[in-house]
Amino acid sequence: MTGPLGAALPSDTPEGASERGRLELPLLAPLFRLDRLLVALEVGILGLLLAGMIFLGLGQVVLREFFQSGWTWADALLRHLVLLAGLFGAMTATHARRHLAMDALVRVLPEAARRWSEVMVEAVSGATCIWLMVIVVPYLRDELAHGGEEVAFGITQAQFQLAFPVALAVMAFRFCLLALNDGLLLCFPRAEAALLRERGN
Amino acid sequence: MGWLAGLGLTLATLLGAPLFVILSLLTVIGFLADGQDAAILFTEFVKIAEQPMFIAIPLFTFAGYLMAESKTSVRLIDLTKALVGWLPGGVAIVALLSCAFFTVFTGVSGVTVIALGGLLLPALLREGYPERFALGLLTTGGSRGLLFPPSLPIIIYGVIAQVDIGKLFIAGVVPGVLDLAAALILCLMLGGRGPSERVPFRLDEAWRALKAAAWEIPVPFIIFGGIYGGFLTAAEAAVTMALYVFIVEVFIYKDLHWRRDVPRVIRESMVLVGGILIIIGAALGLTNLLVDREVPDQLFQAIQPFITNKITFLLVLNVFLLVVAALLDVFSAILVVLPLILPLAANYGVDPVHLGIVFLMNLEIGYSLPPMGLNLFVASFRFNQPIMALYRATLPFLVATLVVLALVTYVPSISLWLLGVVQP
Repeated sequence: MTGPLGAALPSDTPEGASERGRLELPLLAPLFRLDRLLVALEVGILGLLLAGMIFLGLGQVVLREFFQSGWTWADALLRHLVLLAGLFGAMTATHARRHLAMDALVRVLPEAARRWSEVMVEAVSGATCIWLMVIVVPYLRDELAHGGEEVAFGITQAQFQLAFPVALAVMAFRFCLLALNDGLLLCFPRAEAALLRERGN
Repeated sequence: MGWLAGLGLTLATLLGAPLFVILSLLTVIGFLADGQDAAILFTEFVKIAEQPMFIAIPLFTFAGYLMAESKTSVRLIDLTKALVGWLPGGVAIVALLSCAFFTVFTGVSGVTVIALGGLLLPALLREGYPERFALGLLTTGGSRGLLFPPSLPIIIYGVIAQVDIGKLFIAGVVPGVLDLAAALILCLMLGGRGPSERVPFRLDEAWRALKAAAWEIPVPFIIFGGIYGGFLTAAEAAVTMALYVFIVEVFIYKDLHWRRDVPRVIRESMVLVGGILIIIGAALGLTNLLVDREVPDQLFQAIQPFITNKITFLLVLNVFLLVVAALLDVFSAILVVLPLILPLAANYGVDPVHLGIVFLMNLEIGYSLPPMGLNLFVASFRFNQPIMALYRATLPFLVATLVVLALVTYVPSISLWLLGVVQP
């Protein structure tokens, strides 16, 4: 995890280097492939969300300034796109291990302690996401049953909020995968050494 | 049971657990302990989709990243060098202004030190500036500029404090200029001793640099002109800037390839946006819990016997925020600490706009404040210097900014008088 370096150019930062240098156990390779596939999908969706925000925002300005009119549904839709962008961005931040965190103490810990604390933090984060999912699902079921207010094109607020369980599930999957991978690497130093040798070659 | 949960959460925080995890857990456990529905966290979270101000966050961030990943930094340094390089301490001033400008558009994130440090450090050393001076200037330069629009921390402060972002943009101008002026004086004092002769001003060179940056120069004017000309809201200015910068960097300068580079920029910028918005959502839930439990009122009652007036409150606030800023990054500090500080400040009669400027200046300093300021670690990595060397190097610059902070804290009109002249 890291703090605001999340905003720095990743390939040039210590965190970028750690992301690049992450060792992946062959045993978990299919799960890491799924993880990367999901990231590609998320980036595509984020691109569409950004394009949608720019189109709607600019459309409203043009309609207002030049035609004294506007789309009545656009502002609400735009705001919901921001919510979606936040949730999808958070999923990708989990993949990149770049959630904002208070990492002052971790920076000065010895290597072994730092790595164990990472595994613990990943496991706790994964469990938290699962717990939040357990909380949000019944809440959303009620909201969907009540219908709720329409945002645009017949899509209701509750339907937009379906992104919550999706985001939490993906984040839980990633945190658990990282915890499992990093924990196993710590428990089996020989496997880690073999992976490092392989990378060296 | 409660203390066990508290201990676990404190430990997880110190070990670097994501802040959204900590805040969500605090909120959920708190509501459950009060016998309420834990799903209140999500009813608060969705308020992100109720306020138009949030739209500015992803779009300004995306535009800033586009500029950070293109060759804006090179054109910017060229331009400032051509325009002010002839002044005494010219290259140092170039470094100072470039860092401030770049920080404004890319957010306070360490990206300035990473992107400009590699270009500016050799340039400063080549001109004969002492290494310690150059390191101090560039390390603190990573957060200088935070008070100028449209820096992301100002927008996030506005969103959380429910203060008009346009007002905050104006209020930050004079303190921001004072901060730059203080650093400028330091450049002339410390940098003027050793450097070689100045670069003479050449009109053809200035013209060439102006032409090269011609498409990027209008960016601040789009924002200022749009908002204060009454054509655009802050959110619409963000939309316009994102589209303009995208067209300029991808299709005019062609610094970024739409297929090779743009997806990477989308990913990087949205990672930050996601990291921020998910904390905002969780913080909204926690704020609801705190208000429910009347925590701000209790806090006020607890500190009132010791902090009897506004001046003392501001002094204690400064010390507290400097410590917070040295431990947390700027976004987390705003999101976690501000909801508690706001009601206290209101009780002591501190204007929320003035509070915003004081708050952000503290965070700017804290970013380079030993022992844990993040700029120090980024610079240590970027310049391959021991962290202790950076502690010494940044000291004079920190003292200069602290003097400005004292002025801005105790003379509110420094932040507020321009608001009387220019009303957004």
